[in-house]
Amino acid sequence: MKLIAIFKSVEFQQSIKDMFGPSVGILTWSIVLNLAIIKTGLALFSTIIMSLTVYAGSAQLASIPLINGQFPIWIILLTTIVINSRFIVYSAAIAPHFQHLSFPHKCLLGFLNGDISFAVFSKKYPIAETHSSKKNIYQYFLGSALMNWFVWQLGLIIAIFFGMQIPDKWNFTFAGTLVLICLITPNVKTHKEIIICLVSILVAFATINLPYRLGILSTVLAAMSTGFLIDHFQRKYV
Amino acid sequence: MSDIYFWSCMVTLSLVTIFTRSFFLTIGANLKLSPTIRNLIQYAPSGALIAIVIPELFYEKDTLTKTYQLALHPAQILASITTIVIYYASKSMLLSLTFGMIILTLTTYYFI
Repeated sequence: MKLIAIFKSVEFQQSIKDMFGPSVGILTWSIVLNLAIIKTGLALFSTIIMSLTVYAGSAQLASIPLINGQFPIWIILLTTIVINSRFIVYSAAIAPHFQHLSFPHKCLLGFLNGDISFAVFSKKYPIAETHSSKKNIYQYFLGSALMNWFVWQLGLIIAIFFGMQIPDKWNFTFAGTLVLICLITPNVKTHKEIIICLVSILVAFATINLPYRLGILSTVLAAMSTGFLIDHFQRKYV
Repeated sequence: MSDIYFWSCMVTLSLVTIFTRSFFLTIGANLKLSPTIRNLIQYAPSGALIAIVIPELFYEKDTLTKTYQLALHPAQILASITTIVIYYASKSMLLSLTFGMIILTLTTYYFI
């Protein structure tokens, strides 16, 4: 079987290993988010189906009040596209590696491309560099993406069975935030990256209360524009 | 809520996930991105992660108005700084996470 060969590859297993730390973050995040969804009163079966097929935490949480309020489907469609818009940017980053695959295959890889597995993937294969060994990239990507999906579903199971018993004072949800901080840290080394990081923080503060979590996309665009401006001025004056 | 309505919502939301996450792989595959933009995409993930972390770190969600209100927790900020320092020094996520959570627990229970 081809799939077994992929699972046995060095890159796939390395990818799984690289996901161990970040998985703690995915797990706590998944528990917190799925618990919030269960508390909205969505039926258990619906919650499970949604987690398996929609698999987009913030979009799920945002759409539930709209579904419960029986809003028109086009409003739900537009809202979730806006919330998920950062993934369009991510897809541009992985697209060059997987262009040779079939349409359903590419849809599946895209579907599995979560925030944290993408951050792990882009740390291993920096986006701006060109990579000659494309075969290994596929196995690495699949490893982190599948791990992200399975750990997310594990979080759902824990939220269903034990969620109500976790005391709030444990602060365990903060572990998820700490993992995200660890994922940002390696990307802040050069002067240029420090400036981009500071601008991102300022924009994140300024746009925090924008509707539909548009603050996330604003911050992404601000980070990219800052990078562009720094490159521009360096070419011109340095 | 009718079953047809609920399942239409589920199908729509699944399609949105696939549409956005595979946009440049599938529908947008023939859109040629300029090398400049391709180069700038490397700053996107950190931007997104920062925008996700800031509310968790410095804000609390007001349940009535559904807006974020500034709420500083010294224990959380101290735990974050510990995690960053240890991560820079050790490059181990599990180690820095463990220390971050220990600092968080200690400062929460004994100093505040």
